[in-house]
Amino acid sequence: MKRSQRDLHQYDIAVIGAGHNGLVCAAMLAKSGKRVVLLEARQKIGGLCVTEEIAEDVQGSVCAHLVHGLNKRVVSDLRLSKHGITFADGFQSTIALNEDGQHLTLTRDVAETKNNIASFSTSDANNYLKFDERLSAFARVLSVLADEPMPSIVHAAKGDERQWHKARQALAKLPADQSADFLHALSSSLADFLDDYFETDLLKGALAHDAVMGNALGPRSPGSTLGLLYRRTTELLGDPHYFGHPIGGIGAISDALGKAALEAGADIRLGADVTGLNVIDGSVVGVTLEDGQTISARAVVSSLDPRKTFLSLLPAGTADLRFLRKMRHWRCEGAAAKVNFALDAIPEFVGLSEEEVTRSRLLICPSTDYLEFAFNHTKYEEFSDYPALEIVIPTALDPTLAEPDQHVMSILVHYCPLHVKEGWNKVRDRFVERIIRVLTTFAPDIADVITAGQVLTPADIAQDFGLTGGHWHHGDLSLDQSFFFRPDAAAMHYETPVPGLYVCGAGSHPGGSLTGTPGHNAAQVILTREKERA
Amino acid sequence: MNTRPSPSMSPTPFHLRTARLCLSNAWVGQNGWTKVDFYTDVLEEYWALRNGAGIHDLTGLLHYRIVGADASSFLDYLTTVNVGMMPERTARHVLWCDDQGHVVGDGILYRLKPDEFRLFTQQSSYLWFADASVGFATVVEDVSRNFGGLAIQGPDARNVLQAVGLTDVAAMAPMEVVETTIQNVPVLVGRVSSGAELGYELFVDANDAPFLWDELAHHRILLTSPVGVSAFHTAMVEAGHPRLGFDFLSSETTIRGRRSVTPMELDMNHRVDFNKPHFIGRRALEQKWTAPPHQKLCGITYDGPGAFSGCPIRSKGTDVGATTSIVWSPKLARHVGLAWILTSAMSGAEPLELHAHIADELKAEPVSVPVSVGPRRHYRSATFLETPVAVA
Repeated sequence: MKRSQRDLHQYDIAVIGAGHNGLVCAAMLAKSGKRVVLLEARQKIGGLCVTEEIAEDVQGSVCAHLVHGLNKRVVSDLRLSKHGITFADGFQSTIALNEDGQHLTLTRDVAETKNNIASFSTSDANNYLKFDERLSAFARVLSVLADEPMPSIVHAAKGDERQWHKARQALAKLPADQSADFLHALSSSLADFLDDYFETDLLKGALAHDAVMGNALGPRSPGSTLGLLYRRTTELLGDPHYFGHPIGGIGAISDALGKAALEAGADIRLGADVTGLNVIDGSVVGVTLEDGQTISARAVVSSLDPRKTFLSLLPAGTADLRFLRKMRHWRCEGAAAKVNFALDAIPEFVGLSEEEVTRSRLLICPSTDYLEFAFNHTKYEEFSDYPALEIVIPTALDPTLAEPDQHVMSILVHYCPLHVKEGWNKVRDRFVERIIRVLTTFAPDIADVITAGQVLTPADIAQDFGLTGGHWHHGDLSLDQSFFFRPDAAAMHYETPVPGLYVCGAGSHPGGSLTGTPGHNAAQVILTREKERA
Repeated sequence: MNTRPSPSMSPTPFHLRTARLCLSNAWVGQNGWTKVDFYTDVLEEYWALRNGAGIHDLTGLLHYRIVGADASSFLDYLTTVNVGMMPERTARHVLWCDDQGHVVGDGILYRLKPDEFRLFTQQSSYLWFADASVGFATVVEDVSRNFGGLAIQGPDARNVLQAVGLTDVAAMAPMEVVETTIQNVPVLVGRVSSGAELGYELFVDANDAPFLWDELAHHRILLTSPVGVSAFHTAMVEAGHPRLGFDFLSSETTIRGRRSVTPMELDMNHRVDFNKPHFIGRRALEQKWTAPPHQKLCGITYDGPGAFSGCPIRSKGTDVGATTSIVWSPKLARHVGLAWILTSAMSGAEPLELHAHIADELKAEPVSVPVSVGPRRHYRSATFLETPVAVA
């Protein structure tokens, strides 16, 4: 490329959205010498991974609250250890709460978990090893595909054959009987899949909860097992040291990624709300901000959800119709809510020590049926009286968030519809009451210690964070929206049908959760493609 | 308001007139309307169209009204032609394609005003238009039921229209459009003819349809004849116009990918203009543009015992194509029609034969007829392009 040509644009690449994937992508591109600008609509980087005030003088992880699969390559390529992330000494285990006080603790240690399960069912305990091994074996196959851009199905490009070969090899490593199980697992429902291994409701409920997290899928929805495999895949690709609650809240991860991006030379602009993509001769050549300012770039990368990128930012008449139709049908109605309480004491949970309460992830999801019943309501624009809850109280181990006598209870609620019949303003309090009522069953004095609270329904997340439908993962993680179809066969390689426009968000391959994998993969592709275009 | 034709069958706005004349009682359905197949005799109607003036009920064509500030840029995105450069009061044959550059539909586009268009198609593409129009300041409305349309074709067509008071048509060039009145009744006239004759299309409010029919059909001096679907179709095949749904399929309806066709395969490269902003299928067409098309929709003629539609065409015993519409051409005294033929078989080096079977009591008698392949247009009358110099 000639110098004069290059100088026509202010930047080589403009990245829209400073969520973790946008940050990773911008940092990787800047590291490779590109002149990068990262545009964030909010006044803070991080997207859904932010630590903000949840009540007066109390900080908390507003949306996402735990790390369990930050990609190893992101950690090493961006040298995150240098930017000062430390993790709280805890949150390595999950306690599935039982109404009778006989709880089940699941840890990262399989043998220990097996022993814990044994007090419920010996056959489940025995099967747990097999289950865990299979899950890991299946995840190893998927991780080959997830850790790189997807190989093409039809038009084999350079490198595709190598990647297909790797995937075939991984599949071939599965014992003969397991390869059929693997394909079956990809499309089966969680309830059926878990029933094949276990009889203990509490165990199945806990495993099912983690698999549907953030998705508008119930444990009886066909294909919901993919969520279980996906979670294990992200853990496999994730750095095992980056696990649990980072000191300073989840925003600490974003801050470190931001430092890495700045250090690599990227410009980060806050309050830069992109309202449109600028197109000349069919190619995207920059963006327009809400204040009318334009920023020109040789290429634009969007880390926003596919609907926002293609249906709202891209001007009409720029992309072909079949592709746009698919984007209009992209399912991204959020189904999870986040509720953050400020507490003036650690609540007592029946059958748990204070140490267990403050060092573990607590789950209220006693069975797959409980979860499915909670899901039923979302289909009819209602919320359930008995939601499933994932609870973290990080403040005992993280003094940076609040004063010593103040605590944060961070709760992920399943399910919560995007719209409710009555309108959220009318029923928001009732929604919180239901959650408190469920909590009271396990922690009778909870109502006495809550001093303030914050509720984020999918509608709030959509509004506050600019996510269509307020979906945690920018779109349901189901087979028809994964791999070749995330977000569509025409955009699965992060390249879109519109020249100069790329995607790198959770709505692209391999998907959501705090992994940084889409952003990292996208940067690889963009560097190669931009070299070809130059 | 966007309305779509109801799926049930209904009479056309001209029904009270056409039914009285339809002595054959032969009716066919088109897009939910019942139309006269032939009134008394196909040949008689055909010759009326070629030698005098034939009147054909156009109901069954779908009629879309496209208005709004972005109507022109919407149509530039939708279709492969350069709509922006289209002058007011003209008509054009347009195509619209999908992402792969396969044809979804075709039709005749009238530009009435800078921001008002009408589009006439053989098959409904309403959902395609509605989906494509998202984001454009334009409204696409199916007004098929609000209008009555008649085609008048034949060497006397202009005289008839002038005799009923449409003096504006005298100077109309082919593909020109005029909004005028007959006895204060508004009428939209386009010099558009599918039968390769001097011809016009006239559209009036559905309530004025009987009036329009009476004016054209019962003129006291000039003789006009009603023409049914069969004779009208014969003229269309002679003119070489492929029909959507018969000679080629919309890529929205094909099941096997090979049945979808590109504009190049339809030999309609001149309907694709890259010198305009992005349109649906542009990138795919740019890629496919230079490669020779796999097959082409050609014109074929032969002398033989029957009109063999849907029959294989062979070269040295191998199938290299198939016929679509074949008619007996009274004018040319041969069978003429259209056929899909592999481009590799079109060098002319090897003779092509049409294979068919003729029923012979209990067995079918195979026949093979040599065919000649050429341009689709088999016939065009001398008056088709003729425009008298306007009298000042």
